[in-house]
Amino acid sequence: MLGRSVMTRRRGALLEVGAEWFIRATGLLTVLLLVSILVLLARQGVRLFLDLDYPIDRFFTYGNAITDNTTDPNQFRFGVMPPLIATFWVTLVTLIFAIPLGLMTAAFISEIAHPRVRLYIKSAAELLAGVPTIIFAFVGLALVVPRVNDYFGWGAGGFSGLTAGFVVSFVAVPLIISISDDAMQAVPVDYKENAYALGCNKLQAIWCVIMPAAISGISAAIMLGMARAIGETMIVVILAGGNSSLPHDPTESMRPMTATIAAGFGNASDQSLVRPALYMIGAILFLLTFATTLIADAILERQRKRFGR
Amino acid sequence: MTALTVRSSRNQRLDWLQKFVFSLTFLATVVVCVPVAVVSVYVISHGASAISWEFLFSGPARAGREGGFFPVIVLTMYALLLVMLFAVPVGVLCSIYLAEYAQPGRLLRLINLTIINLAGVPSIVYGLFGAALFFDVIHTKQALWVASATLAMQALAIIITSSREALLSITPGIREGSLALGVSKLRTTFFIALPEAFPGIITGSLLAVSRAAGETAPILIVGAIAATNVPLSPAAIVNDRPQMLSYELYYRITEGLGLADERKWGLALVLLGIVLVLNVSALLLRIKIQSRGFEKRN
Amino acid sequence: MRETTTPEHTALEDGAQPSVVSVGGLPYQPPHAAETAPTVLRLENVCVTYGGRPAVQNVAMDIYKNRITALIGPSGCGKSSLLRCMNRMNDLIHSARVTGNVYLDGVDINSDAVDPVQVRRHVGMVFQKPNPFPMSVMENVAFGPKRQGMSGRGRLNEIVEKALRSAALWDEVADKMDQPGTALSGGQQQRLCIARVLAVRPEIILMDEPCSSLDPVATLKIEDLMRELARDYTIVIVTHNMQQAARVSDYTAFMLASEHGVNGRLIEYGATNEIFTNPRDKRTEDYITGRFG
Ligand SMILES: Nc1ncnc2c1ncn2[C@@H]1O[C@H](COP(=O)(O)OP(=O)(O)OP(=O)(O)O)[C@@H](O)[C@H]1O
Ligand SMILES: [Mg+2]
Repeated sequence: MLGRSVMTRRRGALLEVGAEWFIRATGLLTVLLLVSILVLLARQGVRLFLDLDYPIDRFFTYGNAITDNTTDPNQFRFGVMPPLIATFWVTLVTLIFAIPLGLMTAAFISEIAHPRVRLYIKSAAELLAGVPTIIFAFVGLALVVPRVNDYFGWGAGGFSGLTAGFVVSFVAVPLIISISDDAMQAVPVDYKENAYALGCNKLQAIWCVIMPAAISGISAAIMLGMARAIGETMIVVILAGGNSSLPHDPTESMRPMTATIAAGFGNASDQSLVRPALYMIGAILFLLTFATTLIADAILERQRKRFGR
Repeated sequence: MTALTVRSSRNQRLDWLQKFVFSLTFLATVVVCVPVAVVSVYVISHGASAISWEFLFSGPARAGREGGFFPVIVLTMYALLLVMLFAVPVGVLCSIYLAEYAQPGRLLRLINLTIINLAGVPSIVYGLFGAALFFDVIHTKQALWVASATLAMQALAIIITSSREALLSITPGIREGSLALGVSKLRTTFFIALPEAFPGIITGSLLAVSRAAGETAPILIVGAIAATNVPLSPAAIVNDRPQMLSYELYYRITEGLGLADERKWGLALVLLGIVLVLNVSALLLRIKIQSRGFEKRN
Repeated sequence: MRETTTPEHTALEDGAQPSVVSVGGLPYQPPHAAETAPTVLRLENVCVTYGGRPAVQNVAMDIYKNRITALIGPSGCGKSSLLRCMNRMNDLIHSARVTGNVYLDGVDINSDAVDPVQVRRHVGMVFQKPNPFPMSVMENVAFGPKRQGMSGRGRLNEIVEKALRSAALWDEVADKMDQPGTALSGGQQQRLCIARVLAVRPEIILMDEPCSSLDPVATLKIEDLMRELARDYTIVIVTHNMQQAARVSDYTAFMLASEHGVNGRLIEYGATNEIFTNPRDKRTEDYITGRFG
């Protein structure tokens, strides 16, 4: 009977229910992954203080970060400050180069150039973002380091935080372009038309109307570019110089957090204090980028709400 | 009448300023595009002379100073295939959950935020996580598959994001059309939505794999080694420590006592070639999808 | 299977009319005292809300076998929402909540024991905008049967041809079976969508403004087709086109929205010729004669 048949089970219905729960589980897997990254890193890291008796205040105040294989907590000369400050300098230099370059390019392709140009430049930026950073590091080594050494004599033979930051900016720029271009495109057309109706020229419209309206997207772009710079490894390993002591200005040779991990992890012996210390650095690095990304997303969310997209 | 034709000095100044600033933005655009050219030209011009049959298709001799890098290239391919194998199914299933099943609400917001954050986690942190998970928790030994699994975790976010977009942008209405025939949601997803989203999913996967090909930091942490001759059967995936082009290049750059420079650039060229081929095919595929979407709307 | 939720409607014998239910303030009357066709779908007290906002309220009506029933009313009055209650398509909208009973041949399809997927096999749906799948004509029509486990090229070909013939499309597409369904004209696409539904052999076909994106000639073709299909199928159609309702339907239900803040009321339901020639409600008359706001 017709009425009854809608109550019968379909073939394989139970299997489908199982499959659907499996799909739901993979959705939760992402959360599990993120949480376990933090938990595992922190667990490996706090061993430094709990099991290996490294004084916690020394970790936060010591002015060097030497990753030699010692099992004696008193011999271990490792503080988080030097890598943290080095990361700060490199990120600062990156942003100083990347913000003007990225924003001006975004303004150019979004508001000034022909739409076709926008497509080309965005594709080019995407390719730029796709180039492995180890290749950037290598080209930087061949082209930038000698010039920095010859003209400025900074760091250790041209290897310095500034050198690294300069090269990293080319990695951060595509990200900044892409996100701030999206933000400017999202500004409703009537904003611009209103500006023109008030007698603004194009520059005034961009500077006084479009940029302010897109400011959330632009700041999010900058934050995400910053997260990229903080996490960049290969360029700073090769170009920043590698001096593990506290850097006082960006022209010095230095070793940021990522480089400290990359340089120290491979050679560390299992019993030494090096690995736990590096896990600790990793956990801090994770928290830094996590916070940056969260803030950027909150800002973007505000922009989305504002323009309803 | 005259007020419209005579330009005030203030207006003239504004025009000059505009010209100046626009030229600056143009200059910035050029500066951004130059590295694409510089990097490719530099790598090609310095590396092309090193590329030979021997360089590509024979094993290393005298610690890589002679012979070629065939094993590394093959193992890199193995590793990338494995990354696909690990990351694409999980990523696609997760995007199906997000696009087809998840209901708007707190949980969805949490997962979306998680994915954004996963994409922002530095690659070296994935390396540390991989090392902690595989060596200290699961106690496996260093092997190529561990490197792939670590890279796959990093690739997940890209694959999920692009597959989700692909699923969300398929022609509205055809899902309902299928459901109204008495086809279950799961079957509708697999027979209607997924085939439609397929090109977009491939694009995302290609991008993710090309990222993985260039990643150096994570495999450095999970125990990559420089090129050696190993048997190239797929068993190498579980038996041998990871060897990948990106690490090989890093190793050669920092080795101290030098490999001839052109051989390093040769390595860079091979790596860049692989990455660009993956990237450009993803880009072309996407442009094709977009133009198809354009036709659809008209 | 849980005993407690058995959706059997004990009070209802086949062909019996329900007791008096108030419809839009008027006492409920069966549309046609002399009607002999059995009831195949019975709605009782059906309400739909979207995120708490009511879109359909307390609708009760019977759908008769092998008849065409038209739902008419101004835009936003809840016609589509009501139609989608008849095959549980509202399940797919997260904010939608449906209450009340919809009896398909005596079984309440809103009960827990009922599988909505099975319901939709018996109650198919055609949408306002033609939505052929991005596959060949052949695959479009064979899609439903295949998902129900039918296989074999010969058998599928047979089903597809039969469905296409019933949808009056066979002659036009017989030589285009391998072309994409999206490459057909709008009217052909819509008939393809109808053929696609016919191929799974439902009892009832719901159509939500099936002609609103088509030109007059294609519209006429679909209307002819509907009359043809009414021999074997029961059809419920939502339309904005009064002439269309008058031309094709046996029964007409008139709905109204925003009546003193009340959405989605069924105002009048009866045989089409009565509704159009002798409406009992003033508002129906106003709407039909075009004097409506
Ligand atoms: N998915 C939805 N979410 C929220 N509200 C909805 C949704 N669908 C419909 N509504 C609301 O429910 C009411 C009835 O909508 P419905 O689509 O059923 O009307 P309709 O009679 O089919 O109109 P039309 O003739 O324009 O198609 C409207 O007020 C509409 O805004
Ligand atoms: Mg409607």
